[in-house]
Amino acid sequence: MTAFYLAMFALPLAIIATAVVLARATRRTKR
Amino acid sequence: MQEGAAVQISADPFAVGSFIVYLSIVILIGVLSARFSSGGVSEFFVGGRQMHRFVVALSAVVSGRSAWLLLGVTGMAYTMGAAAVWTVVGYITVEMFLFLFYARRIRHFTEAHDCVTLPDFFAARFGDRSGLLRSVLIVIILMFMVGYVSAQFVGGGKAFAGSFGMNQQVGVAVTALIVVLYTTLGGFLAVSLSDMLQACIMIVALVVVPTLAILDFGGLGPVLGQLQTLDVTAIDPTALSIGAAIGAVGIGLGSPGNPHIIVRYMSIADPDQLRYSAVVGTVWNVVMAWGALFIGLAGRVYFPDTALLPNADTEQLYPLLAAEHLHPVFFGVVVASIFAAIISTADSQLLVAASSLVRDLYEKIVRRGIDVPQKRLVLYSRIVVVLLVIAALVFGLLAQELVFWLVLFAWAGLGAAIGPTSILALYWRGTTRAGVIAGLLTGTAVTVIWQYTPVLEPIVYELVPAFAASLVVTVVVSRLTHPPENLDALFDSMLPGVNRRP
Repeated sequence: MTAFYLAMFALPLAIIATAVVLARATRRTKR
Repeated sequence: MQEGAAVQISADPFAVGSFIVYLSIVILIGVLSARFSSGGVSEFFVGGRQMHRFVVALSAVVSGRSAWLLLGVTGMAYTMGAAAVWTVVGYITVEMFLFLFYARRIRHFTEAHDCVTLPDFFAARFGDRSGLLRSVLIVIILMFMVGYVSAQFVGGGKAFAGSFGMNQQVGVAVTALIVVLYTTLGGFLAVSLSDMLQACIMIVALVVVPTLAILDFGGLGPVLGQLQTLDVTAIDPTALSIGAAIGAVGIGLGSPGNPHIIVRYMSIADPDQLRYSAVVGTVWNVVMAWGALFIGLAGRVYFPDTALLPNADTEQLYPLLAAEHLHPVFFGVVVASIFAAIISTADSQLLVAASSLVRDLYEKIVRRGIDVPQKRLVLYSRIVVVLLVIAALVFGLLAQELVFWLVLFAWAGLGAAIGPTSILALYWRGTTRAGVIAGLLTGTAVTVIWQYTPVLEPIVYELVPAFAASLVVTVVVSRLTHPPENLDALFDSMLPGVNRRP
C-alpha cells in the first residue's frame, strides 16, 4: 500500500516540485 | 499511439447541446484568427513567434496527447492497475526538460535563422545546400503525419458516431470538416488557441470523472479495499517486468522527435518565459495523466470484468464511467474531451505536414532562390491543408490497414529518427549533416525492424532501442565526417540575445 501512495500521490507532487525548482534555477543562471 | 474506439452510448439532447457549444467556439476561434494568420508563412505555421507562455504550455502538452491518454491509459490502468503509472512518468519528465532546456535553444536558433519548420532548423544548422537532409525529413514527416492525421479522423469519427448514435463515416467526415474549417482559416494561432480550450476541457473532465466515481463508491479507502479484493497486483505499481517498465518510461523518448510538439516551442514570444511554460505544462500533464490513471482504477471497481464493458473493450471505460456518474450536460463535456484530445493532435499534425509541403518542398526546394510573395504562400498553405485533409480521408477510407500500420510506428518512428538527431544538433558541436541523415534513417528502420522481429518485439518497446541506435549511428558517422565550419556562430545563435545570422 505504501508503494501505491508513493506512486499515485508522492510521485506526481515530486515531478511538479522538480519543475518548479528547475524553472527557478534556470532563471537564476540567466541573471 | 493508438486511437479511440467506438463509445456506443446513446445521445441526450443536453449532451448534444453542450457538445455543439464546444464545437461552435472552436470554429469561432478559427474565424477570429484568420486575419492574423494571413500575414505570411511564419504567421500561418508558427504563429509569427508571438505566442503567450500559457498558450505554448497547454498547446505543446495537448498536441502530444491524443485519445491515447483518455482511452488508452485509462484502459491500461484498468487492466494493469497502478503499474500503468510508468506509461506517463517518462513523457511528463522528458517534456519538462524539453520546455526548460531544448525548447529555449531551438527557439533562439530558429528566430536567428528565420526557420519556420523543423526541416528548416536542420537545414540551417547543417548548411544543407543540396537539400538532401531537408528531403529526407520531408519524406519521414509526411509519411508518418498523413497516416497519423488519418487515424485521428477515424478515431474522432468513432467517438462522435458512437456517442451520438450516428453513422461512423458521417462522424469521420464531420471531424475532418471541423478541423479543416478552423485550421485552414486560422492556421497556427487558431490551432494553438483551440488547443488551450481543449486542454481546459480535458483537465476538467479528467479531474471530475474520477473524483465523482471514487466519491460515489464511498471514497478512496473503499475503492482500494475493493481493488485489493479483486486483484492484489492492481494497487502494486511495481507489478510489471523490467522490460515493460523501461518500455513504458521510454514512451517519453518520442516527445523530442514529434515535430507537432517541437514547433510549439518555436512559437513562444519570449523564450525566457519557457520556464513558466515548463511549470504550467508539467502541472497540466501530471493532473491529466493521474486523472486518467484514477479513472482506470475506479473503473475496475465498478466493472470488475471486461465482459461488463461494451464489446469487452477497455477503451470504452472512460465514457461509460462518465455516463454513469455525470449529468448529460457534463457527459457532453466528457465526449468533447475525447474529441478535443483527438482534434488537438490532428490539427497540429496537419499544419506540420502542410508546412513540409509548402515551406520545405515548394518554397525551399522547388522555388529555391526565387522570391515567392508571402500572401501567395499562405494561400497555397490553405489549399494544401484542404488537400491533405482530403488525402487523409481517402487514405483512412481506402487503406485503413496501412493507416494503422503507420500510426503504430508514428510516435516511435518520429521519436527515434528526429529525437536523438535534434538533441545532438542542439548540444553537440561534432554533429554533422551525414551523421544526422544516417541517424534519421537508422531510427526509422530500427523502429520497424524491431517491431517485426518476433524475438526482439517482446523485450522492450521499439522506441527505446531505435532511439539508442539512432544516437549511436549519428555520433559514429559524425565522427567520420566533418562538421560545418561556422560552428561558433551557429551555437551562439542558440543563446539569448544573439539574433544574428552567422
